[in-house]
Amino acid sequence: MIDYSLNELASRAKLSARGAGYSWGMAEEVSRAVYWLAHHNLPHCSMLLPLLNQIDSSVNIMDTLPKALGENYYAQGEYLCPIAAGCALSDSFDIKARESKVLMTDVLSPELLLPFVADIAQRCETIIVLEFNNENLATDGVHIKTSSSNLYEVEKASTLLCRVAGAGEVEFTGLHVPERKTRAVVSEDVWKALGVYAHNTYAPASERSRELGAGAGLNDND
Amino acid sequence: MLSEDTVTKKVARRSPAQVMRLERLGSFHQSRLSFMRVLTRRLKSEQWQFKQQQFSIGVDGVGHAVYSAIGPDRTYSLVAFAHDLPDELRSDRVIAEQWDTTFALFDGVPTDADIERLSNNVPYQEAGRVTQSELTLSRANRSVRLWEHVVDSLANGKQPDKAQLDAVGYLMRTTAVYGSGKFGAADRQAIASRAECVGPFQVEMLTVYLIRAFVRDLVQHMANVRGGENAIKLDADLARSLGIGNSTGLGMAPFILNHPSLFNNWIVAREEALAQVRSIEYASADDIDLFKTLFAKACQSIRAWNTDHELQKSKVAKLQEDLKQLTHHLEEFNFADNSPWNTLYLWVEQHLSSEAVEFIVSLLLEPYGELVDGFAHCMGTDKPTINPINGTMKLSSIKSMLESQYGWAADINWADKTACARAWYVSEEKLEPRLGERFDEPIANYEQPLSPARDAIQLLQDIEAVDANRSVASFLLKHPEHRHTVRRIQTLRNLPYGEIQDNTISASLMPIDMLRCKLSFFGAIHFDPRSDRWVRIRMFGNAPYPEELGSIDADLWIYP
Repeated sequence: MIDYSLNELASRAKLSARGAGYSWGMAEEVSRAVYWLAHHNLPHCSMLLPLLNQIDSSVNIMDTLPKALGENYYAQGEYLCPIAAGCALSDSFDIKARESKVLMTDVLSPELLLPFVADIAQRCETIIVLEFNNENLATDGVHIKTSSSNLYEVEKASTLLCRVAGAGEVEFTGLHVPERKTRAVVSEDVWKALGVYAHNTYAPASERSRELGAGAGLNDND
Repeated sequence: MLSEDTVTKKVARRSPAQVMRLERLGSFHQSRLSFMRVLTRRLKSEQWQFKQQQFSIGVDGVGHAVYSAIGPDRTYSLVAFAHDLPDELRSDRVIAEQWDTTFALFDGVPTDADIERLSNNVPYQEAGRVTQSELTLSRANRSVRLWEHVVDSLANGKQPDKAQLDAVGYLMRTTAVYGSGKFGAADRQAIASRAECVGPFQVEMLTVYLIRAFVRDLVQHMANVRGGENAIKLDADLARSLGIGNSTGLGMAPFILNHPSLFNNWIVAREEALAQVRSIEYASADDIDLFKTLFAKACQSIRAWNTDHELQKSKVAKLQEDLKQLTHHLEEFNFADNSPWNTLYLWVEQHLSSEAVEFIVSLLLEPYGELVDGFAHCMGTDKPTINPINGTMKLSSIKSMLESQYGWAADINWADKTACARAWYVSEEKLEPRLGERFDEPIANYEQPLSPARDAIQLLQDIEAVDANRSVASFLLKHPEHRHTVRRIQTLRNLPYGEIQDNTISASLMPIDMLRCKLSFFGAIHFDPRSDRWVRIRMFGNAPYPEELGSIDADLWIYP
C-alpha cells in the first residue's frame, strides 16, 4: 500500500478516466468524486478501477449515459454509468422539487453515486436516500448512514431508487460523520492499473517532439 | 503616506479586454504584490529567526544540511543534499535525472530518521517519494562558470569579479520547485489556513529563499576546502547581489489556464491596487521622492537585463528607449497637479510600449504600501478548481455568457490552420506538458483541454443548433464533450480576469508570455528567454539573507 496526497489521487483519477474514454469534463467529475470519497474515508480507487475496466471495454461510452432526464434513468447499452448518472442527477436536481425521485436501471458501481448525491443534499439542505440491493444509504452531505458496509462492494444494481427522505425518516448521530482524511492509501496494483489508463492520454515520444516540445536546451554547463 | 481624503474620485480598473491579452500579460513586471516580497515583508515584520541546524558537507562537496526558519507559530526546515555531479549530466531541463543539489522543505524540524528517509528519496526527485511532512521538493544546478570563478577567487584570497557576478546573477539555478501534493508532499489544502501560507506560493518562495542561503554557505565551504588558510570570506554586499536562478519550461504554462479563480485574484489585486493609486488626488513630497528614486534604480536594473533572445532583446531595447523618453517626460512633469499618477499613467499608456506601461504600473504601486499591500491577502483562493455545474440554467443564458466572455474569440477563423496550429499534450516519455504542431505530429488525439477559446466557440456552435430554451442538463446528456467548457463558463461568471483573452493554440502563440506572467507574480526579474517556450529568471537577487533581515530593508531590496 502506498500513501498518496489527495491531489495526486485526483490527478490520477482524472487522467485514468480520460484514458478510459470519458470526456475531459466527465473525467473532472470522476476526479471530484474520487477525491470526495477518499476525503470521507470511503473506498475510492478500488471502486473506480472496475468501472473503468467496464467503460474501457464498452463499445460506445455514449451508450452508458442516461437516455433522458426524468424519473427513470436507463442507458441505451447494457448498463448505466454511475458518473454519468451522478452528473445527470446533479445537473437536473431541482431545488424546488423536494419530492424528486429517480429510478435507475442496471447502474454499475452504484456507490460512486454517493459523492454526487451528498453534494446535492448539501446544496439543497435535504436528506437523500439511495435504495438498492435491499439495502439503503442516506446522506445530508455531512452524515452518511448505511444499512450495511457491503454497500461499497456492489458491482451493479439492477434497480436503484434515489429519493428525498421523508420528514423524520432518517436520524443521524455523530457516529455517522465519516472521519476526514488528508491522504489516500492505495494498493500498488490498483494504482498501476489506473496508471495504464492514464497512460492512454500521453502522446508517444517522437524525435520531433523531443526536439521541439519542451523547448529547453540539453546542456546546463554555463 | 496616505490619508483618508487623499483618494477621492475613483478611477476604474483597466478592462479585462485590455489586460488579459497575452502580449500584455507577457510584459508584466514584479511589484509590491509579488510573492517573494510578500514573504520577505512577513519574515521581517514577524521577526522570524533562522538557524543552520546542520551542515554536514564533506571536502568533496557531498553531504547534507538543514536550515530552519522559525516563525511565530511554526518552524519550517530546508533539508539540502549536495551531490558530486559530473558536468555531462548537468541539464537545465525538468526531465534531468541528477542535479548538483536537491531539496525538500520539511514541516517542522526533521529528526535524524526523517533526514535518513529523505536522503533515500529527495536526491531522486520525481523518482522518489516524500510524505505529508514535506511541503516542497526542489533541485538546483550550478552556474558552472560563476561557481568556479567564485570558489577559485575566494580560495586564492580574492573577492570575485563583480561584473561576472552581475552578468549571471546567481550561483545556482533551480529547475523545479514542486509543491501542493506532488510526489507525495502535503497538499496545499493541508496548510492553506496557516496565516503564513494564505498567500499563494509562500512555501515555495520560502524554499527558494533558504536555498539561496545554503548555496552561499556551500560556495564558501568549497572555497575554504580548496584555499585552506588562504581562503577569504565572500564579501557581504557581493553575496547579497546574488539571487537564485530558475529555469522554467512549458510545465508552468498550463497553470494559469487550469486555475482561473486563482489567476483572477492575482490580476484583480494588481488592477485594483493600480486603480486606487491612480485615484489618488494629491501626491505627497515623500511619495514623489520615493517614486523618482525607485524609477532611477529600476531603470538601472533594466539596463543590466541581459538576454540573447532576439524578441526579448528587442522588447528590452524598446523598453530602454521608452524609459529614456519617460525620464525626459518626468523632468517636466508637474506632480503637484490633481491626480498626478493617473495623468502619468495615461501619458505612458498613450506613448509607450506594453513593457513600459506594465513597468510603470508596478512602480506606481511602490509609494503606497499601506494602500496596496493588503491586497496580497486576497490573492489566494479557497475555491475548488472543479465546481458543480448548474444544469438548470437555460442554454440561452450560456449563450449570452459565451458571447460576453468569448466575444473576442468569435472573430478568429478557427477553420484556418494557423488558428489551431498547435496542440498541448503530455509526452509519454517524460510526463511533462508540451506544445506540438497539430498538423505535423500525431498528437491531436492526446490534446489537453488548454484551448478554452476554441472550445467555447465549438460549444456556441452546438448550442446554436438546438432549442435555446433547453436546460444545460439535457444538453450535456447529449454533449458530454462540452462539459468542461460549460463548467468553465459558469466558473468564470464572477471572475472577470480569470481568462486569457487570446488564442492559446495559434501558430503565433508565444508560451513564454504565459511563463513571464506567472513568474512576475512570483517576483522574478531579468527574464531571459532561451526559446519561445523556456525562460531563465532571477529570484531574490539583492534580498537580505536571513541574518540580515533585522538590519536591512526587507521590501525594496528589489531596487538595489
